[in-house]
Amino acid sequence: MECHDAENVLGLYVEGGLSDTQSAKVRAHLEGCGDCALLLLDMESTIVLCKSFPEVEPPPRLIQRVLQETIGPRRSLSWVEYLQVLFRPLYASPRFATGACLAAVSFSIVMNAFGVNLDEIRWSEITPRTVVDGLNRTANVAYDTGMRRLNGLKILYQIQSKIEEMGIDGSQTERPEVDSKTKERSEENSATEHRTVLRARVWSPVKV
Amino acid sequence: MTEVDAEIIEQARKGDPLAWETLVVRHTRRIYNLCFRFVGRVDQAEDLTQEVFLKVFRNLSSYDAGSGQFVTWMMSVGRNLLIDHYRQSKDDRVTVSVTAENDDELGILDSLPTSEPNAHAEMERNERAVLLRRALDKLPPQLKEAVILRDLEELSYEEIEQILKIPEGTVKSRINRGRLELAKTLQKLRSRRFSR
Repeated sequence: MECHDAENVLGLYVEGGLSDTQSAKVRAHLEGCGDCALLLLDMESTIVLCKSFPEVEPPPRLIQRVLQETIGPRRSLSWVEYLQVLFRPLYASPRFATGACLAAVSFSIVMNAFGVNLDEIRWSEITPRTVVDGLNRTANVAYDTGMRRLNGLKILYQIQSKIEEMGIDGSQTERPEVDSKTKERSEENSATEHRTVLRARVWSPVKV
Repeated sequence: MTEVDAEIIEQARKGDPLAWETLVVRHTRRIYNLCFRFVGRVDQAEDLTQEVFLKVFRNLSSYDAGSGQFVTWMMSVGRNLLIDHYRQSKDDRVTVSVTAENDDELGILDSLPTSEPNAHAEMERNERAVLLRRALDKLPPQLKEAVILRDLEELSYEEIEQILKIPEGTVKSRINRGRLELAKTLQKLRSRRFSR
C-alpha cells in the first residue's frame, strides 16, 4: 500500500470503518511509514477536537422570532393552554393515558374503601367548606367508634377479672366444708347459679 | 420517531399552533447549532435558523414519516439553505476571513458557553474552538458539511446519506477527505500560531 492509498482510507480506519483485510493493509503500512502514522495521530486528535466542540445556547428571543415569522403574533396563553403546551409530550403518549387510567381506578378503589361513593358526589357540591365539613364529620365518627370499642374491651376485661377472682374464692371456701352434704349441695347450687348469671351477663352484647 | 413526535407533527400539519410551537421549542437548539457550526457567526446562525423553520413550516405537508426522522428531514432542509447561503456570501466570507484578525469579530467567543470553572481551561477550550472554526472555514463546502454532520453532529452514515442525498460510498469518501484536509489545516494553523 502506498501513502496515497493509505490517506484515502485513513479517516475510515480511525473509526474502524474498514474491512479486516483493508485494516490489516493500513496497519502494515503505518508500521513502516512515519508520515502516515503522524497523520493518523493528527486525524485522531482532530476527531476528538470536533466531538468536544461545545454546543452553543440559542438566544432566548430566537423561538419568539421563529413563531412570529411562522404563525404570526402570539396571543397570551390561558393557564389551561400553558399547561397543555407544557405537558403535551406527556399526555399525547399512550403510556401516560394508561397510567392516568390506572391512577383513576386506584383512586376510586381507595375512596370506596373509605366509604365514599363517587357516584353520589356532584361537582357543584365540592367546595372548600363541604370538604372540610366532610373530613371533620368522618374524623369525629371514626374517633367515636374507636372509643366505644375501647370502652367495651375495658368492661369485658373487668368482668373477666371479676369472674376469675370469684372462682378462686369459691374453690377456697369449698375445701374445708366437706363434712355436710346438704350444705355442700346448697352452696354448689348457689355458686353455679351465680356463675351462670355472670356468664350470661358477660357474653351478652355489651351496652355502653 | 416516537409516537409522540408523530402525533405532534400531525397536529401541526392540521394547523394547530400549539403543536407547531412544541416542534419549534424542541428543535431550535439542534438547528441553531447546525447553522452556527456551518457559518460560525451568531447573527447569521440566528437568521438561518429562522429561515430553516420558515421553510419547514411551509413544507410541513411534504414531510414523509417513512423516509426518516423528522429532525433529519429538518436538517436536510437546513443543509440546502446553508449551501445556498454559502454560495451567496462567498465574497463576504473571503473578506471576513481576511480582515477578522481578532477572533471576537467572528462572534465565536461570545457564543461559547462558560461552563469551565478554571479560567485557564476555559481559555484553552475557547482557543481550540476558534482554531477548529477557522480550519472548518477553510474546507470546501462539500467536505465541511460531511465532517460537521459526522464528527460534530455525530450523525450515522445513514442519516448523512438522507440529508445530503448521496450514496454511502460518496458519504464515506467525503468524510475521509474532509477529515484529512481538516487535520492538515489544523496542523498548519497550529504551526503558524506557534511561529508568531
